[in-house]
Amino acid sequence: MNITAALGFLWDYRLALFIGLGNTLYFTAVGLAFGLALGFLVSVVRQVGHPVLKVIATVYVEIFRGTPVLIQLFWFFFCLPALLGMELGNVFSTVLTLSLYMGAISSESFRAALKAIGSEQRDACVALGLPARVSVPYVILPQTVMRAVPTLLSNCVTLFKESALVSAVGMADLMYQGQMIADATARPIEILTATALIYFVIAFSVTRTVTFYERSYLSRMRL
Amino acid sequence: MSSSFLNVQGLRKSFGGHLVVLDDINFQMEAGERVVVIGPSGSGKSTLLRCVMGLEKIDHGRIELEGVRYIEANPKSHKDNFVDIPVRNKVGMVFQHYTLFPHLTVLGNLILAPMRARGESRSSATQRAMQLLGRLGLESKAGAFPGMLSGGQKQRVAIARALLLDPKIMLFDEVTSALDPELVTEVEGLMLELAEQKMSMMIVTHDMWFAKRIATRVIFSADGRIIEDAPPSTMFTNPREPRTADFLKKVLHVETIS
Ligand SMILES: Nc1ncnc2c1ncn2[C@@H]1O[C@H](COP(=O)(O)OP(=O)(O)OP(=O)(O)O)[C@@H](O)[C@H]1O
Ligand SMILES: [Mg+2]
Repeated sequence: MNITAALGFLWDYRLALFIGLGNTLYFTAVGLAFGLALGFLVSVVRQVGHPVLKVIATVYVEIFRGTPVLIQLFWFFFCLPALLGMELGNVFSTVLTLSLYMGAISSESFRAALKAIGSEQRDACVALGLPARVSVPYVILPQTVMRAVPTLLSNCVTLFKESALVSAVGMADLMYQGQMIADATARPIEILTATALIYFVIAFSVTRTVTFYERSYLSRMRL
Repeated sequence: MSSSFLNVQGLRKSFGGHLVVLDDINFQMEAGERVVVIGPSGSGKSTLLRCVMGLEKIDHGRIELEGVRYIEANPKSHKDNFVDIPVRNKVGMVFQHYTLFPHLTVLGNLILAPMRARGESRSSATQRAMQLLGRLGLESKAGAFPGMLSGGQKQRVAIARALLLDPKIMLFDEVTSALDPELVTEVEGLMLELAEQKMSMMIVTHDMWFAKRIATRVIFSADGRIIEDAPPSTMFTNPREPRTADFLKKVLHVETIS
């Protein structure tokens, strides 16, 4: 195969791929924003919430961690509107699924980080006479977030990659665009390879960032 | 009632209701005294200090500082203790495992409580903190994170952090136990300096030689009770109780071997 020809061919479809990438990033970003907020809330509920809320939160987390994202997507796409007897909108169903999925996996990261702060840190807060209005924002929260960042970033990578599944319900994301072009041109090798490469470059740089963060900050602070 | 500086009256502490760790402890000390608590592992030494610091909920009894009751068990409900937080805040404590805040610099660790809990201005807190760090020869570490310090430096920072709050009494729970042997002296040296400045202290340690040097009084505790309470000269050379003698024979023997 001629590399120049392949690149030229890809160049012709740059706009379609670019739009696909934009949609992928959009779905990922919205899923992240809602998912992280939800995940933090759920982790706090599971730590200190009312017993009934704890059970609900746990069931939610386990269901979303224990089923394929593709089924979740189909369920919110086809089953939920049917059960409710109303249209939800494709984008809404997509974003809802990704947010709930991200909420479930990130709540585990927050929970682990919250747990990892030992009782000794809390003892130190009491011994220094720090009331909760000081110890929570200045001692507990920053340590939770800093500890959670590496796993949260890998959660982000997971969401970014899993979001390719939305192509299965007709969302024009990167994966979808790649497939469409491949079908239309009957040249899957160039297009699918290029698509994979785009996913890889983005995911890989985030993963590298995690490693860098762990080396430079976490190890320095021995968190 | 009592005019003692620190007064522990009828203190009882159990875990889970049945494991009685401290049983009717009565203990007084005067300002400027340095009381070292010794005793076998599990005898409740840490628990006693933690109760005085207000870290443990007590089942029975009360604790006073300078004649003011600041912790008292509630006889009606075992759930809640009465705690006078401003008085409790006159007690400072340093732990075995440093417990510095790892995400804050040394200076950040020192000024957090003065600024955020006591309303001191940043500039004033920083100035006092830097002065204290200077005295301890740790000025150059002000911007370092705790993870970058040696164990001895961490523990001295932890002591400085407590001192910056002007405590009336300092509690030390095995603060050198986690340190490499060569780092122990720098921390013990700082504690001896505090002793010279007449700081009131309660110290738990397994280091009998240090106990002998710093103590004005030694308490031997076992099975949740105070078995013997004597000046170091008597305690280490001529203990009254056979159990004390047994214990001392064991630890001093082990220490000379190792
Ligand atoms: N949070 C807790 N829950 C249950 N039991 C506890 C708790 N803390 C301490 N204990 C128990 O209370 C007893 C006294 O513990 P404490 O730590 O006060 O002993 P210690 O004299 O300081 O011992 P060491 O010399 O080993 O430090 C021990 O039997 C210990 O297992
Ligand atoms: Mg102990």
